[in-house]
Amino acid sequence: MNTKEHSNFFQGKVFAILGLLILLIVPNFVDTNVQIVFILILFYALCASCWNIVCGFVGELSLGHAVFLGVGAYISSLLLMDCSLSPWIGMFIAAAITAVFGVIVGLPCFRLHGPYFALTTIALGELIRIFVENNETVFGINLRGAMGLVLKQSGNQFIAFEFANKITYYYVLVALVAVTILVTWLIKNSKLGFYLTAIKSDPDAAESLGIKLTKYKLIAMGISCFLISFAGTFYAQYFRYVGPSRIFSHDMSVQIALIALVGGQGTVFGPLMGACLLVPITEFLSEEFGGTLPGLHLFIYGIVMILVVLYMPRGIFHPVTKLFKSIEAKLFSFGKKSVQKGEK
Amino acid sequence: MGEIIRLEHVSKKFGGLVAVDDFSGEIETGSIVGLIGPNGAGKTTLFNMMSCTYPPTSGKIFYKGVDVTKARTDTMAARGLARTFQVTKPFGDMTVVENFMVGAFLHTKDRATARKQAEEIYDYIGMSCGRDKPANETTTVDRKKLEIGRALATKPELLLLDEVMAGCNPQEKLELVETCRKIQKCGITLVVIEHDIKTIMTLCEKIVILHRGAKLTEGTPEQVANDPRAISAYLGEDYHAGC
Ligand SMILES: Nc1ncnc2c1ncn2[C@@H]1O[C@H](COP(=O)(O)OP(=O)(O)OP(=O)(O)O)[C@@H](O)[C@H]1O
Ligand SMILES: [Mg+2]
Repeated sequence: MNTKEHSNFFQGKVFAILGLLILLIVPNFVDTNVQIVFILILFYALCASCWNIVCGFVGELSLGHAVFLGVGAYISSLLLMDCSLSPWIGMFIAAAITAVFGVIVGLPCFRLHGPYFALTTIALGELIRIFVENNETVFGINLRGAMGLVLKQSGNQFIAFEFANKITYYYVLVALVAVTILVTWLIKNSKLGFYLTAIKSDPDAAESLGIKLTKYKLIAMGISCFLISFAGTFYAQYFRYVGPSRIFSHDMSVQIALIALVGGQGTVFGPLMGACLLVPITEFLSEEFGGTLPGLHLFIYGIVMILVVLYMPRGIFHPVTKLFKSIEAKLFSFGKKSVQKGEK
Repeated sequence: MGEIIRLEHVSKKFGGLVAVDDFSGEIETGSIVGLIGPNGAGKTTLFNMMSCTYPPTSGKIFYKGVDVTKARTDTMAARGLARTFQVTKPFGDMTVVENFMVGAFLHTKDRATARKQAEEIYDYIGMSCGRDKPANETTTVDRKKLEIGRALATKPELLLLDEVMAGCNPQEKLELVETCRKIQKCGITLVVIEHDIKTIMTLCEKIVILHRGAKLTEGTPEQVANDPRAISAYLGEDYHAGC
């Protein structure tokens, strides 16, 4: 897994660097509507990368990951609204609580596999959503029920995680995505990554080599939930509103999982690639046809999903890097005829 | 030397089917023991219970003097018991050396150390497919060797080999016999399930014959080969005559 993918990645590096530069620089020079799309791309890339850390590596399909996004958003927002705590601090408290929550929830869930696991996570997501929608206060915490949390505008204040222009939000996201991708890369190249890949590949063999299956799954779950909680805080601060029916929605969970699946499970850059492909499609379609043909973007989503499952069951990451590599090799040998193929 | 593992009146029932029936026995530390018997005799089931994949329906298992009847598979690996699987279970997405690294990670957190140990295992086990070959693209022999190497990477004291020579040609079988001897010389106790009686008779110091879940007989290869029960139930007159 490692060596091979590394060489793939570095050989396709011209395109990779180009892509990353586009993501870094272009949003500065486009109008706000396009900036919004860029923000959504990175937001979903962030969520999908977090999903990937546990589900992509372990090979289970969580369709309830929005729960952890929502828990993160709620905790940091409540800390801001009711305790006047800066979201910059609140997001870490939220992350720690979400991680613990994720581990507790994961304990029973990870005893299940395949469709049973997926169904349980769907049930969990719906359970939390309905619970929050129907409870005004829980243990003295003012959840505000179905109304959701409305964050007051206080102007362009760094300390309140509130910015006047979209581009600042965007660069906050860039930092969060960079951290998440770095963490994924570190995991992949560590004992944890080897163990998770082994568990995914063959749990019986993994266990016979002394791997405590539940322990390592839960470690991954904790990291995943910790990081996705940051995405939740970002969501709340950016939209200034957290509605339970959206953030805890099944749609949200499915979208996160789909982006990671289409991108490439268990790869470092796959979820980002998946978000770059799917989010613009969705945004464009719902913009163009949202009024006349509502739901068309979901239809297209379905088609893309079917195509990927049929032709690239392991996601677009490997085929796309391969393509980039071969294009690069052609361009390269066009310039310098003496370059041989198959260099290591 | 004493025994490394002891089974006391171990039985395993799958529903109404008695796979292992009141089996008792022990394995001497440092020895190399062959476990033979017809298909469905319960050999793999016995291995599964020794490695704590599932507990016996009744009876007790002691590993290095400790009752491990209800222990977990992963703790058995940490205690020094390693096994291979009859139906090989390579980590297909990983390369050969990365498969070994997973085993090596049992005793180290450091990736470079694991890699170094894995490469040593690769050389030790004598594979020729290339270190960085994806495990699911390897041949039958290499898969068997991969299973052995991965188990060895956990630095076991007791190694259970389930039909590692099945599907290999005579030359490859010889290689594997040599590998087993080499492993034993390192002080690792071996239990070997095999159907090739000739091979196992030359390799092992002690043979246990399992028949319909129960121990039919045990002893040195010669004793077993001349045991009338073994001949009539499993070895057959031909083998006896050929001796
Ligand atoms: N998990 C299980 N559930 C139900 N029956 C089982 C299970 N495992 C094994 N058996 C049955 O138990 C009996 C013993 O099986 P086992 O695999 O131990 O035989 P074996 O001696 O290893 O045979 P072989 O030489 O074919 O590998 C067989 O009849 C088998 O069908
Ligand atoms: Mg068997």
